[in-house]
Amino acid sequence: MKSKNWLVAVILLVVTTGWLAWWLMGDVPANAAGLGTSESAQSQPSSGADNSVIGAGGGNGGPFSASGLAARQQQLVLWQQRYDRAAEVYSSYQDSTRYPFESRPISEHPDQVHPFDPVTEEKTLRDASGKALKGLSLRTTQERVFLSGAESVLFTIEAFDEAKKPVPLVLGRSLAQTVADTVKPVTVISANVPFSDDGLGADLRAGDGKYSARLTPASQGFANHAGTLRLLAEVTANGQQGVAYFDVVYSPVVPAQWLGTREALEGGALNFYLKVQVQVAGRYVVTGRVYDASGKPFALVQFNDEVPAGVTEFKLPLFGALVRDKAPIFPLRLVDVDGFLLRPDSFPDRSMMARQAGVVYTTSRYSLDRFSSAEWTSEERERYLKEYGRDMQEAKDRISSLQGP
Amino acid sequence: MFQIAKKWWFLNGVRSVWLALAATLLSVAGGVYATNYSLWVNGRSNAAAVPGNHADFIYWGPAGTAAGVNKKSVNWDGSSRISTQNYLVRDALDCYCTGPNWCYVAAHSAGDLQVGYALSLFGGSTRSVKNAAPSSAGVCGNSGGTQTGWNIKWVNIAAGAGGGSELSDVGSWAVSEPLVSDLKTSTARALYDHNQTRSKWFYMYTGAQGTWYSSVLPGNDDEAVAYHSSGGVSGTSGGSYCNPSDWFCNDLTLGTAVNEGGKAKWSYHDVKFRDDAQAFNHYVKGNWGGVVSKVRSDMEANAR
Repeated sequence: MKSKNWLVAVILLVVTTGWLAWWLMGDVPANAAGLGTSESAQSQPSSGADNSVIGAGGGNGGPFSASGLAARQQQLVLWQQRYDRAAEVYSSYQDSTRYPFESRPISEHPDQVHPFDPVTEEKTLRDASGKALKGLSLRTTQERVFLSGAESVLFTIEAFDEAKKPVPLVLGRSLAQTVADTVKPVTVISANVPFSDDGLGADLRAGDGKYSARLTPASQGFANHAGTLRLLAEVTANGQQGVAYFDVVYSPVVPAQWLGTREALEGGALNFYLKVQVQVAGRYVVTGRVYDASGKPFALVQFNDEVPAGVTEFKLPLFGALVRDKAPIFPLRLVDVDGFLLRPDSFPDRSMMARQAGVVYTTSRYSLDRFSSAEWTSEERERYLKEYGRDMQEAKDRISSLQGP
Repeated sequence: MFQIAKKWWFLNGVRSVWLALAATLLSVAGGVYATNYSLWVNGRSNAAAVPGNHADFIYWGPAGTAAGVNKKSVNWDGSSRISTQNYLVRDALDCYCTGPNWCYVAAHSAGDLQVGYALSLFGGSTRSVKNAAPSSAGVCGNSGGTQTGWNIKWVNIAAGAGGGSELSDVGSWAVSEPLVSDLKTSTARALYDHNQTRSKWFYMYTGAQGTWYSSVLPGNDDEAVAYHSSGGVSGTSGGSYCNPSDWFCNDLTLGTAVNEGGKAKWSYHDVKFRDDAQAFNHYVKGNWGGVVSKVRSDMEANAR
């Protein structure tokens, strides 16, 4: 009790002295954007003090001198800038977290709508040393970047001139090989992966100028290799020889198998439950797209959590308010589901599950009023809104204070 | 005049002491209090730094330079695969951005991939609340309790390599370096869903002073990354984006607007600075240089 009184007395003394000093000095601003501010001025706890306000003035004028007023104006500009950012951060967070992070408008994920489209790149044709070959470009595609187990990957190459007209290609040697992913040496394994334009095997159409090749790591000598496989292909166009190269990341292990999908309307949301047989326990990241009956994609649903080995279900929630806001036409379709086991702190950092391309599941029909219009609430959201709101209010208060009575 | 200056000096000192005492007393009386931190996440090539030493600013420049409140340097090696070094970033986020503490994050180049990877794949995971007192390995002790994700106010990215670099595609960098494989444009863009920042803003600062690699890097570049990456342009591959003064190339728009040509930016990516004067390059040069200078200024002014 005695020590508590002592503490209160010290607090009162400090507060009184501090208030007196503050009052005598006025609120003298500093050039917070100036270079070379000492670290010591930046190393105080942020709560309760604006370091940029302290130590300015430099002894060349009081708070109502010309320089003091100019500095105050500068400080006002700075606080307005801080307020603008804080207000933007607060309002955008409040708006966006109307739905949980596992159930989002697909417009927010513009490059995740068609996850199984090949990666298409256009690049200048270069020789083995990286030197550009004048007037020639390549358009390449690769079906995927990450693959596991018995999966394969299709590659295509075609060439164009400066006018974007196709140029006949001659494909030379093309070889896939292991490369080191860490500083540890890697056993070099290689395999021929021939490109062709004959309409056979990997090639869809003969003589269209687009050469194709397919790599199936498990059956081409890489079944026990986890890591990057680099495919190098020698290409000749207009008599100039260049190189195209592709990287894929292969994991021999398929960590889990899909067993089916069900739906459940629960608590005003429609949940997709994807049943799986998990061989390797750990964190799984699973993503699906939800289309309405007119074929329009409108939601991205995700699962990201740790699961044990055995039979389990990944829950992909379609949040009620998202359904109410987007008003999709039922029945809905769960489309293009991809998933992987995330292996933290290692490389490869993932083992892919088999892709589920196309329509995976079609829901029943529901009227919109069966979905909750309530926005998402969680400890995380409240924590953020509280902090962002505090930042906004503090900036607002400082602006008021600087503007004076 | 001398007397006035002396008085100001005295009062200034009193006020500083008061603030320090007040903060200490608040800490004693309340047990814990909120502290804000500024985390700096380096890019490629950081061999001289000690991983996990949050006081080592050798990658950035003089450690005494102001760069946001309570700045910490999240040192990863800048040469290994993103996934194998990401624990250092997560450790730092656990240290300083949990419980009552909040963070501002600044990153350069491949540090963009590190921060994006952590937020996208681990941003909703359960984190132990830490005590902001790291060991020499950069790991903090538990202070009790758990929470979902980290406390991050916003993220500033200088010359971000989240979209990869064509210099990696053509072998201009040492292909024996594991990180270079992650920086291949197709690989960098497939590493994680770049739109999933858990609604935290990534403020993008771009540089356009590049000339040397202009035949390799499409559109405007800073000599290491092109605008498609530093400007946060979405998609599974890169593209050519420029300043408005270039009539033969799509504009990288400021803010969150869709770019000329119709390609959107990744969600929660906002181009705060586009180098219209082509005055900033990629390189920090151990003195907070290049595009990092713009981010440093912003951190000094707004990370508080």
